[in-house]
Amino acid sequence: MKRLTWISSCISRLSEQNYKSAYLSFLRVGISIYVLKELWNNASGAAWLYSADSFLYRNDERLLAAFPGMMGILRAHYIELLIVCGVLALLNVAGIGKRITAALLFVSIVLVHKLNMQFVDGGGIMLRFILMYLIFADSYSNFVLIPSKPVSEDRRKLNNLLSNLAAFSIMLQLCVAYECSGIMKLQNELWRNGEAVYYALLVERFRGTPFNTLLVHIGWLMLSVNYGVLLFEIAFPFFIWISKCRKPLLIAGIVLHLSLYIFLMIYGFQVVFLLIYGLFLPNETWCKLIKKLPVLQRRPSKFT
Amino acid sequence: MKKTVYRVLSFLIPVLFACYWIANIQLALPGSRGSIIPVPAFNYFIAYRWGFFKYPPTGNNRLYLVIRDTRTQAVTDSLELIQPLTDAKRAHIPFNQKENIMDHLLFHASAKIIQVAPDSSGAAYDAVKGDIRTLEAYVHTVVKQQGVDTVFREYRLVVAQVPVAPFSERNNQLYRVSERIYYKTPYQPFGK
Repeated sequence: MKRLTWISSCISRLSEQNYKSAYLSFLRVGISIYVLKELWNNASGAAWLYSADSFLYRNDERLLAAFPGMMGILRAHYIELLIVCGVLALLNVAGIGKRITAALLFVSIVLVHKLNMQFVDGGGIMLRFILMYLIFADSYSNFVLIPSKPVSEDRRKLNNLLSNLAAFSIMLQLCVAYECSGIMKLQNELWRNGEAVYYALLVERFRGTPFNTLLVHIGWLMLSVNYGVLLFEIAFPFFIWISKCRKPLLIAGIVLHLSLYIFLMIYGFQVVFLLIYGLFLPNETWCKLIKKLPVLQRRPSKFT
Repeated sequence: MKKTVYRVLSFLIPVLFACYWIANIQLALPGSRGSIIPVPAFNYFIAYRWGFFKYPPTGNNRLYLVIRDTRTQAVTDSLELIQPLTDAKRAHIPFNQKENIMDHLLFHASAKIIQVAPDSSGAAYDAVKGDIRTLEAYVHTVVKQQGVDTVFREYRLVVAQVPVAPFSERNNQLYRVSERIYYKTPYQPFGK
């Protein structure tokens, strides 16, 4: 009985207000802009990925293999598909069409990814998860062209509940990604021996700077970074919820992702992951920021 | 009526949320074999094993295009195709997405072939047939781009790997790594 009361009070607390309203708006805009950038990149490779003389041999992906006709249509109209995605991403930036646009954007990105399974990385998968959760989130309290219409109290409460659970899901997804990755790494001998970072820095396809070859000679640095990464990935999901640990963990995460960006030339991945970090900061921080910057001034909305 | 619907929904949503997250974590955890939700389509969409650099690469893959004269059987030219791509990727930082995609495709195709090479059974190579075809088709793109003379010529592809010096030898200037060949296609005409 006590447990039921606790669950009920949790639900009513989550229904009271949208606790991440400010950053969800920022995330919607940020992710949509990132999608636009990715589409631009994909378009640049369209000629050799989908032209008649493309060198790529494709094993049809499971989803699209189930609809052979659809596969052909999508490949033949790849650029058109990218344009549709781009338009949806632009609409999503402006908050036009709200959840319908968000849902269509998610579906179109899934299709693009299914066509390009051979080079979709963890960042792409995380992007898909974020887009899926954003369908349920109310990210329209700021940065929208058309403010939301007033709704009934019950609907507002349900909307807040959905939005808070969606925001929590995005944070949880990041935690799952880190934790599983940490556990996976622990199963590998190179990671356990502290040698994995050394190899990653030296392999040519990841050698982002000339410093990589110099840094690998510093044994203690390689070992500490190796074990630091393991510790970070395993500890993050547990300690990020403790306010005292939050800042150091977020700073460590930013350093980790920036290092991956610079030293290993892995780009999109880092942007997607870092964009999620903002959700761990309190809504007030983002509200204050929005108030300080006239360019980010909020538009009136019923939900806030 | 509407009020009841909202009330039911406000309890149903957290229940669905909890089920979703149990399934998500179950599918993501290393070694897990299934999910509590017996809906394949749902599991297909959310199943992903997160493991960034779980197997750190320990070598640099090489893809050689070896060309020989069909009349004399003498090797006339040999081109390495992956390293120039890696150099181009580095040269175009941070706007190297095109090179990045290309590198990704070629590296993973060659890595899969290297992975099955020790088990040189036909079944193992059947699994990477698509990757071999991708590499072969890429050769034709390079041949076209670089204007390689293909008259009276045939070619073979060689997939090899140059290992990175072991961690324990990182400061040993005299340590030499040796390239290992994993796979060779038979010689074939360019028109194929």
